[in-house]
Amino acid sequence: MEDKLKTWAQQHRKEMDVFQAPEFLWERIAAQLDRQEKTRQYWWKNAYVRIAASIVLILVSATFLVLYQRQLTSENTLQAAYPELKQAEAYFKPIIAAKMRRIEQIGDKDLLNLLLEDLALLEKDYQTLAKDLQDHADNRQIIQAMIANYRSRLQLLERILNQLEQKQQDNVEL
Amino acid sequence: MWNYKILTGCLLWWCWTSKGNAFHRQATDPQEVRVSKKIAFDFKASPEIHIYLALKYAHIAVMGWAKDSVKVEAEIIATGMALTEANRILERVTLGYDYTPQKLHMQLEIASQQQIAKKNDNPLGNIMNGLVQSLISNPAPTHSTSADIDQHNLKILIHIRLPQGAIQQIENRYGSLELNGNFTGKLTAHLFYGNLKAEKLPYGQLEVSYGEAHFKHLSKATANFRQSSIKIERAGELNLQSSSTTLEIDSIASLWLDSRNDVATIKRAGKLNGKMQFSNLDVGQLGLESNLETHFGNLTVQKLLPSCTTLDVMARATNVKLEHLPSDTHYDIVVKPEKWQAPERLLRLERQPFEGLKGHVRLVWNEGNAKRKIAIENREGILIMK
Repeated sequence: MEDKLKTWAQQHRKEMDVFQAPEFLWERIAAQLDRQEKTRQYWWKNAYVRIAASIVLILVSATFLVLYQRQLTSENTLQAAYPELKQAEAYFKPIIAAKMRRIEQIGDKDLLNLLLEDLALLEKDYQTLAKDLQDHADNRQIIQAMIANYRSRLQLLERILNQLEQKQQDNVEL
Repeated sequence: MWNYKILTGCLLWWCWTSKGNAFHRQATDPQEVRVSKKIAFDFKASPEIHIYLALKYAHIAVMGWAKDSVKVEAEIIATGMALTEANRILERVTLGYDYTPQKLHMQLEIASQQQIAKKNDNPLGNIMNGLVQSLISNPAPTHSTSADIDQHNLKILIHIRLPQGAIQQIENRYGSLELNGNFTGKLTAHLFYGNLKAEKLPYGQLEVSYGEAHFKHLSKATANFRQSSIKIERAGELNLQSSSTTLEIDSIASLWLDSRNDVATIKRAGKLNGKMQFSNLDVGQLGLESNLETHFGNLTVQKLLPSCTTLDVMARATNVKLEHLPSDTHYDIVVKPEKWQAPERLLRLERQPFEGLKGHVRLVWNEGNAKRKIAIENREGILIMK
């Protein structure tokens, strides 16, 4: 298909070399450019806005940092105040992880989802206990309950694992 | 001379022994100090008053009575080795409340020790407005400053009398709840590390975790029991979700069950439907019908009553035991032949391969005039019929 613009340019090439643009045209264009520059003042280039934004950014970062630090401190304080909790965590966590890996190997996906739901509920209970520990009320009982929570997770996994392995063994024997 | 020596010796012996005894008494029989705050109020109430309790460490006794009023008596008792210690424990516990004829709110707050320390800096901090403080035993030296609370040094007792139609919403952690009386209103209870005991409940929405619950008569309820031990003597309609719980039901008209890792014994059930995973369920007598989906675990049905019309079990890797095989029944069984134990005459029945399930067979037969249907599909599990 023929390019109409190209054809027109070729036909009027000579006229382009001869005719000059009128002077007022450039003045008008310059005037319009000035107006656009004046209207396009970006708010974010304002120095005050930049300073305010920096302050907000610093404050937000500092808040998050303090909150994170506090959380870490409270966890460390909890474990420092109750060494038996730390011991229980150190004892149970690897065993629970190992049992979980074993179940992942021999259990199916639906079963795993159910198990994860149950473990999530136990974790929620643990968090409730940890929160109530801040009452400093009957903390011995609560600490015992927190340790028992780890034990419950392990018992749950062991029970399921036993049944899965028993079934596997039955199938092999038959 | 000798008399003098004997007398001096006796005196020294007496001094030594009496001093020793005195020390011993101090060490083993220390004088405890108990202090308490009491709150008591009553007011006229609507027969269907809404009760909201958000408590911790409280032993709550609720009594339904045939009056249009509410009466509350609460006592917080703190025990310490010194008056200061007991007071500090007591000071940390605040029982807030407000009421109108339509509602009663009560909540318990335990301030941290730091908050109490700050409060003590303020001379007005020790004033306990509206509370009666009673010193029960003799005052002891005020040297201790510990305000740690445990179940031995803090007791919160709350006794509430309510109109029987009251609608109750009770949350309690590390405490207990006991309901007595002929209630007609709904109870929503959330117990965490706490026990629940109820005589008669018309409608309940119950959540019990890490506790024991005992219901004499539960008409209709939705319940979620976790890590608990539950005993129900008589129930109407129960929608139950439970896990890692020991459940004992004497008699229930209709039970919908979603059970995980439970050990459940139901002596007599009318309708029994639902699903279970890794649970052991033992049903004594089944009165009407049962549709169950099981995944691992064990299921035993000891007896189907003549009124029973259906037992439909879809089992996966569950050991199913059906005792006292009824006559007048249509049987439809899918099982692995090597995992099926039954009377000799049944083992000789004609078997068809079951499509889509390798190694399984299907057996269909009638015994007498088939008034009921027993359908059991047991994939991978053992089926014992006797």
